Amino acid sequence: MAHLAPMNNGCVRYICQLKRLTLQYCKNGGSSRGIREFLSETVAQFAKENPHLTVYVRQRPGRHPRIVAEFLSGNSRVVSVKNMSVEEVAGHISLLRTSSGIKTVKLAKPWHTDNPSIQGNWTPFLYK
Amino acid sequence: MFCRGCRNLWSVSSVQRSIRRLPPPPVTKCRSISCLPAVWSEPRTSTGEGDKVLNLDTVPSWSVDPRTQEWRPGSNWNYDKELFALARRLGHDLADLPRLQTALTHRSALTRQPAQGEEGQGAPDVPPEHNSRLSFLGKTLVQYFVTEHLLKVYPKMEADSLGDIAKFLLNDPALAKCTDHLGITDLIVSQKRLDDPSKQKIIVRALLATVACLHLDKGPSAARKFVTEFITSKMAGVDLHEVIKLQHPRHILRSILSSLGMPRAESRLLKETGRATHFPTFVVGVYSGERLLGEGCGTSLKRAEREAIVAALHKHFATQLAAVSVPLKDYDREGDIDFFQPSSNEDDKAED
Repeated sequence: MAHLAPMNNGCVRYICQLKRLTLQYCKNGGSSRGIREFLSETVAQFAKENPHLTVYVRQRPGRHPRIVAEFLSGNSRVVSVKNMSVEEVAGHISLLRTSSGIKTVKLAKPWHTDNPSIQGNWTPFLYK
Repeated sequence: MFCRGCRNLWSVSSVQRSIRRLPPPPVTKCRSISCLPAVWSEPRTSTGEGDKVLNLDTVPSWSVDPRTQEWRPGSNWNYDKELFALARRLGHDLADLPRLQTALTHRSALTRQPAQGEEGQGAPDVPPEHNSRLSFLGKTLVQYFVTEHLLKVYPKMEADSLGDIAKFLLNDPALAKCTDHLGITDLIVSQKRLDDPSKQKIIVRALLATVACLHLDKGPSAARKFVTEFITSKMAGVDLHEVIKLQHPRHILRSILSSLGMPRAESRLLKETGRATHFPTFVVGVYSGERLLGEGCGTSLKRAEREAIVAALHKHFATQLAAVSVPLKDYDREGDIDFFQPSSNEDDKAED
């Protein structure tokens, strides 16, 4: 059986799973340079293009900048954007916007199969 | 040490304690399982869908909003902005925002005393209406749209089974999960704490009121689209065997066969193994004349026969009109609704 997205998102209608972004930055810190540039140039346009998201911009003086994303499933993800360039920040935001909101899970195996048995499992009736 | 919880002697060596001159430990309960504190209440993940992926543990803790004295999740967000975002997410217009706000207001929010400092910016103006009337309308609407959809998608299914599916889609836990995942729960204005499992009704009412809001503002087709997209879409990937409980499958099968004019059902043993052991397996097929309707296996002949009849019924019920599978389109035209189409007069069990 195919694996479906959480809450069958996309089966009939797709809604963006990201609901809230909080961009935290420092006014003077060097590690916040990229995100400051992002905030002065791109964020207004981004917020306008994504009216289903609320974008909050908060100052955190003296700390490294970060982005806190909250998803419809209730999960949240924090991305540190310290020392990143504008493009990298934009890339991370775009990654969050298209994310499904599931918690990041460490895969035990690098593969998955729905049919682990090639010739079929043994059943009592196999050789009858 | 004597444990006050389980009344057992605690396994601490008093000799060691006296050698090291440790003070007696302050706790008075041992660590046996019976003395551990009670299991914490379950997080609000609901329904038997077994959806392990979803995790509502990280919903931020509830606290009282100091400006409005209401229970709220989260910390620093602006209610009006969130409401606007919700409206855009669900497809409401901006002009509908007051009614949407009403749809999210529970009756308990209107009975509170006015808090001091209520004119703080960003505090939601509690409108003088609550969502009871809207949720009353919404409940009927949602049931109607779901029923309409099921009747159209499963033309051969009996009414009891349709009721089972409707119950699966519309029970409180399922709708509450739906509401959470649309982001509506965060915006419900109410005096009661919503993270209590017994308060699911409030959450569900907000969703129903939202549907009614759409219906009133944009018409029934918009409301139908909402219900189709968010509520009946939960049917995708669901195994009907788990949802439909057949009470008297033999009777149902007999009535269906007689209405189709097919010969009476007969069960025949197809395969068996291990009859004399502790775990036999019988494979029984139920036939109508020469045609195999369904197969089932079980540990006894009776169980296997029941499984076979249930399998035959599921195969019959689950026939869907080809045009009505997910993704669903073209539902907006009122003229498309005709549940009771003239039957196409072939044996419906002819397509195996």
